[in-house]
Amino acid sequence: MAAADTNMRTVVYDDDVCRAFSLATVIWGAVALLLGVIVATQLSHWQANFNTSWLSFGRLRPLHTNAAIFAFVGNMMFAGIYYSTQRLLKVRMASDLLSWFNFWGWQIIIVAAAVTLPLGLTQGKEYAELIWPIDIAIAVVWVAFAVNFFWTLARRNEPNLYVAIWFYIATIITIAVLHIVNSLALPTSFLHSYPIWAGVQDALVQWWYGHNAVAFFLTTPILGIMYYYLPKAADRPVYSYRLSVVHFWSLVFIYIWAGPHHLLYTALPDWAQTLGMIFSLMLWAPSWGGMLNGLLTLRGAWDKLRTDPVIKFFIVAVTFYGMATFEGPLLSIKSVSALGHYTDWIIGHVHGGALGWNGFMAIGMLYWLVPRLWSTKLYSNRLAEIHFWIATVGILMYVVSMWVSGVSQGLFWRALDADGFLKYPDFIEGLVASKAMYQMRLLGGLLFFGSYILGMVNIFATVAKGQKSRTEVQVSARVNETGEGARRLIFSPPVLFSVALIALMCWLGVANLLTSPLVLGLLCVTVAGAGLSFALGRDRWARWHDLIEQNGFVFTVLVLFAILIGGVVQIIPTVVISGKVPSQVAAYQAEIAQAAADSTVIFTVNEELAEQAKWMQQPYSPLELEGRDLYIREGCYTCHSQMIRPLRHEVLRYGDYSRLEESLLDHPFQWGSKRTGPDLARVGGKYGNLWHYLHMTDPRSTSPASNMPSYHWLKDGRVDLGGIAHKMQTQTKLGVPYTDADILNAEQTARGQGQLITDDLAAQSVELAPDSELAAIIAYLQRLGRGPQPLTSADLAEGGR
Amino acid sequence: MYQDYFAGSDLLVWPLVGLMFFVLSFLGVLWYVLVGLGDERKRDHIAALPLEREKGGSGE
Repeated sequence: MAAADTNMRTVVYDDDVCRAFSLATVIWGAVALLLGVIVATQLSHWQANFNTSWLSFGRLRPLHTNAAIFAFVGNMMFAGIYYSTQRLLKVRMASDLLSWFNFWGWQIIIVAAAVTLPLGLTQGKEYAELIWPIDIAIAVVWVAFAVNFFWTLARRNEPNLYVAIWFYIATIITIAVLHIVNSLALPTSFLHSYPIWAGVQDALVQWWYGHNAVAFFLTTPILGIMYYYLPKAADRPVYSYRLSVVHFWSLVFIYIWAGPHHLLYTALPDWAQTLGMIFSLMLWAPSWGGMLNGLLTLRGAWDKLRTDPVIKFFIVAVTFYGMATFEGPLLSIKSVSALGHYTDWIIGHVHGGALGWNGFMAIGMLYWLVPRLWSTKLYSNRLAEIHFWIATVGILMYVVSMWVSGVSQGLFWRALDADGFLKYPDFIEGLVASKAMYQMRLLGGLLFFGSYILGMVNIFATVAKGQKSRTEVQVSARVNETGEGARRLIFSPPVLFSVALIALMCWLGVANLLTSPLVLGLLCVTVAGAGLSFALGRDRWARWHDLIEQNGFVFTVLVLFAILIGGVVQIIPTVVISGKVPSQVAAYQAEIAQAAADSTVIFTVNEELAEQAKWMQQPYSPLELEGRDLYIREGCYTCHSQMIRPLRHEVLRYGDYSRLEESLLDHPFQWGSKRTGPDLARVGGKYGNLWHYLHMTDPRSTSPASNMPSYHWLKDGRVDLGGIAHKMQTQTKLGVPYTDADILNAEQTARGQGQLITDDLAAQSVELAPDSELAAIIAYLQRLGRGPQPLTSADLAEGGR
Repeated sequence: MYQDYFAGSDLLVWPLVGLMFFVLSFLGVLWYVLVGLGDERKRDHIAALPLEREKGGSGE
């Protein structure tokens, strides 16, 4: 590490970009909350869908979640990071241009999301719905932010990296990795693409992303903000710096493994589910360590809780962090997940984190930051107090109503009578029972939103009476980093011995009976050598983390390594297995076919492969594929799952449990995460075409208590039959086994299948065009859980293909 | 069933190796926290970084 230079220099911080992000946070926060109130209204009063496609729940719900995560918390995160990073590193951001590119780029992305999602332009993956051009824009803006941040890190005047900076580094690195891997897709047009992942791979990658978006977008940056702003507001250092170090490394390493807890009891391989559950339970310790560290920062200053609204918001935020991080691991226990998954309990859990932890931290930070950025005092502490109490009551109403509703739903769905059959076979009965809780949730949401408007007034009044501040500090200039620190670190005994131990453990993992004793012997020698080295040079062992901490590059590489391990060991085996399944089954089927054609061929029955062949998914017909795209466009996955868990009540209600083989060709997977409506994995053939027609155009005509929007616009919408072939060609590049003939005849085949459906409807006095969107979506729904369906009258006469 | 496919696969050793790596790293971090951060003055200096005063905006 280079020696410090004693020259003093003047630094003027760039607070303009902090002001811009702060105001953007305030505005987008209102939008996100308003959207939340609208979708909550739609769930309790279906009429609030206004029979309008771009206002329907399935399209607005992704907009609400994206607005809350990326617009509200995203802008808050940037405001908090830009302000605190400059002060903790005692240097201005390296590039004003990149800072403003980050600001305007992010706002344009948000506007693009606000336009595309209501139009139904989506990839159909939760929290990653945005279409591929916007995904690329996100990557570009994020890289600009990263370059600016690390450039600033390299130019810093403070040699020590405070723990908040560590959390920011983890955020920047991990979000880049998650976003890029989960967004890999093959476009079919400028507005549409298919993800390269399918079925179980896609499920694992998606929830590796989805869970860690919560971890590294909604948690680690906000923890960094907590570690900076809470001590500032309390005017005392964090309770335990030592605890913050343990908190950071444990959290960063463990979080990334926990994604599979979103897929318990699904078709995900059991070992991955168990791994996800164990690491989720391990998260309890670091999360609560961090929470206690935050709360105890107020030691000796608890009186401020009575008088300072900023402290009030922060303390409630940290308390909600503790509640949410207790509840998360609890829900990851398989038996608890069996009850809580797909229910409103998850919605309550998520909002405890989003409104309680993120929302209150954001508001607390803004109440602290805005007066300082505009050189004034907060316009009204009284108004902030009122805001605090209304918001607290609102969020409690929200969370409690969802807990009650969720647990009731879980119990309702699993209730069996004395004979072991479903006590409540009609799914809609559970929804009716939740209606009162939906009203209470709406009221809670309205209170939170209303109080936020008071907060907006307070903040804008503060801005109006103040004037932009200009912060100038004298700092001791520091010579920039050289490679010396990195070299000293790399060749330090702890690092060398650690690398040796890891290599030997890896070797042990693949060693056979003969080499194992050798590897174990080497492990013993290495451990003994480490002990000897420590005894001879205790100081060199004690300083290794200092060297890491003072070298931004090495620190970043280590964080990257820590976050990659969990993802790699889960995703790579799943990718390998998914690749093997179809080829093994196809080879077996070819063997059967050959044996049938040539009686001299000796054929050996393989029961395992025969079972897999039975469940192996066949490609969708052209019209079904188009219907699936419409299913995704309308956001049906926001209310319907396609994954029957191997639990008695689920099998009784929906049919045989879902197999991994059944969705291997699904780009993207549609297993879902919530059941406001029933599971659809085996809905094919359960109802006639007329039932689906009526249900889609007027859900109350078939299910009187349903809260589903009407999708009447699908009657008039037309499918571009000429464009299906291109989509099928794209799917073949992703491994879906369409033949050349399938693609060549796509338009004709689609028209024929549409005609079969509309002929059936016409026989029941309902007119529908064969190329209508409704015919396509009926074709898709009728295919779910079944093999290929009739495409022509001849197929129909023979009873199938 | 393919859900159990990896129960007998060599690939399953890698999550265990990853877990061991975590244990090793965690012990290293604990070591640093208990020994490396034993110097109270140094600890206090780093912990107080957010509290350094600056000219400019009010309330600092």
